[in-house]
Amino acid sequence: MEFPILGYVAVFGAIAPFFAALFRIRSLDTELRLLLFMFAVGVLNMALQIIIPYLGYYNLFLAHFYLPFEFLFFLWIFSRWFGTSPQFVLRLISVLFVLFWIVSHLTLERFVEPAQYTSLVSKILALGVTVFFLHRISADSEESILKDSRFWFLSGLLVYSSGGILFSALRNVIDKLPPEGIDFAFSAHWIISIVSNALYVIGFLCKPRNSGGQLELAR
Amino acid sequence: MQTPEFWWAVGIGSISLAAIAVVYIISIALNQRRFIAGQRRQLEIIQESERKYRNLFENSQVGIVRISVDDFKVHDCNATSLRMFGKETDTGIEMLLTSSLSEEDRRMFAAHLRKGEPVENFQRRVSVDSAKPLWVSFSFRMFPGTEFAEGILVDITEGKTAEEQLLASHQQLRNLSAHLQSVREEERVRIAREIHDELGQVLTVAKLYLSVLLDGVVSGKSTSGEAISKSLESITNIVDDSITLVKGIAYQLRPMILDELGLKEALEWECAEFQKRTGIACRMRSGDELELGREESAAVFRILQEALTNVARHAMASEVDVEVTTIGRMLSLHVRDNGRGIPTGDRQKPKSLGIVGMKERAIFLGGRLKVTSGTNGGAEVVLEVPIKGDR
Repeated sequence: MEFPILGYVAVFGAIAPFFAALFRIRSLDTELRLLLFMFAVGVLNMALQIIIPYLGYYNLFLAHFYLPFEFLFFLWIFSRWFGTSPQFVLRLISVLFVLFWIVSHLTLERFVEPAQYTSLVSKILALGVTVFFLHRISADSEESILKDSRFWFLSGLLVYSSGGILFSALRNVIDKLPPEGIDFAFSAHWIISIVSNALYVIGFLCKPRNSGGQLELAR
Repeated sequence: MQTPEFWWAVGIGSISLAAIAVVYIISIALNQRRFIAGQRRQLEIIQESERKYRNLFENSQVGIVRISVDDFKVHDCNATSLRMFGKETDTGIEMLLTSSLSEEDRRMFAAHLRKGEPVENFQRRVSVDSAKPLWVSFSFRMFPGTEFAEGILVDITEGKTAEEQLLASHQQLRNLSAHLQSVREEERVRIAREIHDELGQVLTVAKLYLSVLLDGVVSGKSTSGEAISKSLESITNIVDDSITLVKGIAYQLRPMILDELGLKEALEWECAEFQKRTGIACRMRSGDELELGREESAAVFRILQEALTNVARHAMASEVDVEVTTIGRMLSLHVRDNGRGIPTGDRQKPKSLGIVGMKERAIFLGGRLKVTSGTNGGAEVVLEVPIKGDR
């Protein structure tokens, strides 16, 4: 099967946030630089996932480790962004997720198969967390949230989590079905991935937070 | 379900969920945009209000200050306050009131304000510039719920000066009135003395002559015609003296010459009399006609009399020039002497009642009178009176 153009675009989209962050690296604050590190790890993960099969190994185990890394990293960044009040809840979620991930890999999930339960749980949790924080910044911001990089990262994660829930939930069924007609489902997945990564790119290209409206209001 | 349909369902389901997320994100952004727009509008209203009241604060013609009640340090003040205290910039404004109000006043103000009572129109003289004393009316009111008070300062120096001048003027008028009473009393005493001492004496002598004649007639003694003629001649002389005396007294009360010959001749006559009486050379120049009403003529005549009296009493002069001119409907009288002049302070002394009297007469005529130092020493009295219609 020939790899469709949309697939290439999706791959390019996945590395685009990393390059956008590099482009604006001088103006990035600490949290955005940490996100740059996370996206760099993401790019490395993608590269390894492409290279490893050529070396004759399964690449699925990488996703099992990258998934909690990405999820927990996002939670950590959110706790840095939104201060002390949600930190306890975010830490609790992180700890419970780590425990669930361990238990799940000891009982339900295998590293040689795609992650299902941890993926689904991480997406549901990400959905809840992003909806909560989106609501919070819309209420707290004194200038347009379109100028706030946090809004774009939360939106990207929300689109990615909501669009990926069905795939994660039906992973068992998907793996057992013949691939006829799978193109459409993958196209949908790629479109969601492209949209999500585009939102991350905008997040990196936004001007740094607290450099405009709030100061103006304070004056 | 067939496999392709399943994949379609998964794809459409995923896209739908992502679309719901996008719709949620867009709604959040739009809501926030509306919220921000509302906030901006409110901010603009607040800023507009701030601008308006800031403008009012800055352009107010009274001084406005914000002070802390504890130490009376000024935290904010407008340009009028700065000007009032002779400052050009707001550096060092903290001590503006601390240095200009006494500690006792500050303590009293603070006590009032702490009790929630406003301080209204406390008038105090503040020492900003010792050469130019400043009177300020202070009003303070607490800002609710703070330790700050708002103060209104009004420069009332002009009003106070006017008040002081008015009091001085009242005092001057009282002095003038007393002086006039005293002058009138002196005049009465002098006339009474003249009547008693001179007219009474003359009439007594006349009576003696008449008694001698009457005794001769009653006793039947023969008196020579020569003696009778001498007695009658003496009596005639005495009556002539009496007439002169009465005329002199009448003239002093009101110079008849003023009514009979007019102002010009009266002034010339007065100058001649002055020269004769004092030995000070008095020259008079005037135009052909000086036509004023009776009241005005009398007032101008009295002013000249007073001016000449002042020359005789104080100037130590040897010459006096009197010049009367009419320009249009204005009569001017200049009285210049070559004496020692009048110091500026003496001209404004409340006790210079002669000058005050002349000024009052001039004002009564609708004119004005100035007393200045002459260019070559001496003094000059200048009277300007409008010539009215009634003659």
